[in-house]
Parts: sequence; C-alpha cells; structure tokens
Amino acid sequence: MVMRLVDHYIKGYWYCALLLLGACTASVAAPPTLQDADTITIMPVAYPAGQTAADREETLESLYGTLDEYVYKALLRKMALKGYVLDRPRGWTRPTDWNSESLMSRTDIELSRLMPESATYGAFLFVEQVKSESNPLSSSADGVASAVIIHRQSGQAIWRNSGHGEFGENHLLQGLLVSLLTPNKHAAMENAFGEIFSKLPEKQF
Amino acid sequence: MRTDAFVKLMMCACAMFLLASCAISTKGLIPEPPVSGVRQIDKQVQLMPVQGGRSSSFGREAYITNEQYRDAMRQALLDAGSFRVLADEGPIDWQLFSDIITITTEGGVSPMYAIVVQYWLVETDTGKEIWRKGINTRHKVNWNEAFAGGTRIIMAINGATKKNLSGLIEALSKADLPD
Repeated sequence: MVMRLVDHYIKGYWYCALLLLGACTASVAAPPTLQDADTITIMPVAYPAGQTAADREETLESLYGTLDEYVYKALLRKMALKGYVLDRPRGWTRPTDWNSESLMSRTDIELSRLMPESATYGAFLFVEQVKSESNPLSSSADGVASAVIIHRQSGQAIWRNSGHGEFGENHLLQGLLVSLLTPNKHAAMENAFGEIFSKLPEKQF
Repeated sequence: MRTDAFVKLMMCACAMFLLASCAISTKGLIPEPPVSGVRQIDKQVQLMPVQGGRSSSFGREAYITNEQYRDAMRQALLDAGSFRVLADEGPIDWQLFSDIITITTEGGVSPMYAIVVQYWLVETDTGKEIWRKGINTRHKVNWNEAFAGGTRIIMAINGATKKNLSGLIEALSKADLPD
C-alpha cells in the first residue's frame, strides 16, 4: 500500500515536471506576434532601382508634398489609426543600395540586420512600381507595393502583405481643372496602401 | 437687393462659425481633471521644444503646433506634479524631449483622431538617454456628440491629446528611473 502511494507520487512528479518543461519550451519558442509589438520603427520607403525623385514628380507638389514624403506620412497615418506606436529610425544611416529590388531579394534575417539597434520591430515598405499616363482626354496612374514587419532580434517576419492601387480620371467628364488638382501617383499609392493596411489587425483601444 | 445682402451676411456668419469651431485651443488639450495619484520624481526637469507639430491649413488635416503641445504638456505635468521642479533655468537634472511622429484623422460623421508621440528623458550632465516611451492614443467622437462637423473634429483632437498626455504622466510615474 505504501509502495503504491510512493509510486503514485513519483509518477505525479514526473507528469508535473514534463508539463513544466513543455510550458517553458513553448514560452521560449513562441514566435513574436503583432500583439507583442510595442513600438514599430518605420524604415524609409524603398523605390525601384534607378528611379529618382524627379521621375516621381507630380502636379501641385507644393500642396500635397513630394510622393516620397506623402508615402511615408501615409504609412505613418495608416498604422497610427490601427493603434500602433511608431518611431523613425534613430542613429542610423541608410545603406546606398536602399531600393526595392535590392531589399526584396534579401531574407527576413538579412533585413532585420539593416534595422537600427534601437528598433525592436521594423516596418519595411517596398514600392515595386509606380507609373502614370496622361493625354488630353484622360490620365491615370497605378502602383504596386508590399510591406513587411520584422522582429529585429529573431529576424522573423510577423506580418506581410502586398497591394495594388489604381487611379484614373476622365478630363471630359470631370473637367481638366479638377483633374489637374489630383496628383495621380499619390492617389494610386494611397489606394495601394489602403489595400495593404486594411488587413493589418487593429490594436485594442 | 436686401435679400442678396441678407444671404451674404448669413454666408459670412456661417463661415465665421465654421472657422471658430475649427480653432484648436491649448486649454482643450490639457487633461481635466488633472491626472492624480502619481509618483513625484525628485528632479529639476526642463521641457525641451516639441518637434513634429505644425499649424493646421485650410483643406488639410487639423494639426497641433509645437508650441500648443508644449504648453499643454507643461500644464499637464505641473497639474499632476510629476517632477519636483519644471523649469527652463537653474540646475537642470534632466531634459524631457518629445516628437510628434504623426497626427491623423479618420473622417466621416464620427471622426477618429490618432496621435503618436515619442517622449524621452536625457540626463543633462552625461547627455545619455535614460528613458523612452512612445504613446499612441486614439479618440472617436460619435455623430450625436456635437452638431457641427468642425466641433466633432476638435473634440476628437482634444480627446486623443488629453489621453496621450495622461499616458505620459502615468508612464513617468511607473518608470524605473535612476536616482
């Protein structure tokens, strides 16, 4: 009787030890998630290689800002409305090959090494394509972009998505003046971001 | 003729009403009642100029100026008694910096406003950053809380900013700071 009780105790200890070990392993191996993200550092937006800011010029930039500024601010706005705490890269220098092709060819771990040391999570945004066409009757633009959020320490991507945005105007229907007032590339990229970040989970209030 | 003059007068009155309702006042940004029950930090702290704010412009998103944000933060910290002394002169122990990373409004009849601010403390003697905290606060105003759309936007801005400053005070109170 006593031996059976002792045997039960020993078995009980073993089960407890195994359970504890399992719980510890799970907590160590648990991948980081968006819900864990305290502050996300927003890295500068990458554009296609060989494309300059002059190539992305639009009408009325004095009113809307350049596409580069507009895209970065739009990214901050979209993520702020989802409840994320954001930061800009600090104490960091942008590598010379900071373009979409170069960055997208890297692995998540390689990207994580490009982030500033102050960052815990970093968001990379790649503008893969942005172009516009205009003729006397109509004008249009379309853009393709993708985004990835990476946990710096583990080098793991915790969220990624891509999107396509279009914008078009008919000068005859809307009037040339109204059409000129809308920067097409800005609107197309805004739509692409809308698609990308509509899937980003919202943080609770 | 009289009808024309009356219509113009009414339009001017409406424009003035809309402009008045869109003005952001510093007083509206300060948490009220003040955040209470906070730990007072026994340091003399200088509030550094705020970065990232700008004035609102017609047809664009409503913004807060750096001066407005700094004034509201100063009053909120004084009301809460977060630091022993908040001063611009004398033996300064720490400097409190703040950067408005983004401010944004989600339009519609029930506007939502979001403001993200990074705050950090620097030890004056060493120039070392000793504490940092980023805070995102959002405030939504329902369509039935105010008649004028401009007023609802101002309410959303005030609400989000008050929450952000309250968040700063609470974070400072709980922070593990050097003696």
